[in-house]
Amino acid sequence: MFSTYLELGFTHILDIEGYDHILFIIALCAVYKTHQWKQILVLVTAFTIGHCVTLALSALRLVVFPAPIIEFLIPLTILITALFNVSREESLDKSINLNYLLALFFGLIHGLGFSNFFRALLGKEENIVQPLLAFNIGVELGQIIIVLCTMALGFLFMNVFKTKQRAWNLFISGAAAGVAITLLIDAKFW
Amino acid sequence: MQVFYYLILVFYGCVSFEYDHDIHVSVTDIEISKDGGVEIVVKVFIDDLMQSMGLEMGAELPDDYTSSDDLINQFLNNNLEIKINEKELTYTLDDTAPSTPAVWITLIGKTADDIKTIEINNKILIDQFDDQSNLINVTYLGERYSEMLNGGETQYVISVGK
Repeated sequence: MFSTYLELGFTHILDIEGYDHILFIIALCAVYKTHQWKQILVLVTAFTIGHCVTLALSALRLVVFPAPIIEFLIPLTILITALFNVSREESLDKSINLNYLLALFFGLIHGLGFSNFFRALLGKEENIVQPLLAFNIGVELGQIIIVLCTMALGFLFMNVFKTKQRAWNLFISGAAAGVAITLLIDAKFW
Repeated sequence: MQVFYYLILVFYGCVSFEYDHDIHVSVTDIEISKDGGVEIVVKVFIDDLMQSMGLEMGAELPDDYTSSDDLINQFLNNNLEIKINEKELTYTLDDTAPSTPAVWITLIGKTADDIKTIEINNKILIDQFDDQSNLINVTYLGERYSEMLNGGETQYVISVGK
């Protein structure tokens, strides 16, 4: 059972049909270069802490949010992250702490999104701790894959094709913002 | 100039994607006790189930409608088959419990106490949704087996007692 829920968490975050989580992580990483892996690690950890908290709380039904609101908030996190990316100073250090805070706070919102899917998977288990843990680990593994792919692509563009960091950031953030606006318009929230 | 490129990309993103992230999942829990008693609990989203049964909220009932239990029985007989030791299990509807947005359907049956294989053929809602996934959990003699059927998969076979 553990492996089943682990696989479900892994495939859920990597599911291209539900690309909102993928897009958020890509946008989050757009301002970093490969050598800043320590900052990326802190960033991803902040996002992880955020979504683990709400996934657990929501799965245990300690917090309940209507799905349409969550579906609206998730693209909003992508849009804000993208706008923050393009409006920031060239020097990353000045705004890096704010980035961690954004990752943590927005992680809380994405965790609610994960929980919608996780709760749909629950049968009549009396103890959901093990499925929850397995699902969460699966999500983390999927998240690591997305970060690694994003950083590898960034490395390729910035080091092989000599694309400037600012241009890479604008490219990623612009595309993410555009998609996020579409998601916001189509959200059932309206 | 950079802002211009940024706006182009925003526009590109706006016109290039559609968003469809509805969850289409059912869960079937099968618990087989030592004496051969079988309890099957199926969790399925009510709106999906109604759509599959040709019912619409607020619309008139079909002429051949008898009861919701009959419809659910018919639905499950057509979509959920369980074979134990290669012999089809006969189950009966025991209870339905709506818990919006899903409904829990409990079925009961009886089988032999010496089980070697369990085969589940689950076609629940796969004709309705391309992205329908059906999770199956089986518990037998304290062991738990799970499988997610995706992408049109319908069969899960377990060998037990080895």
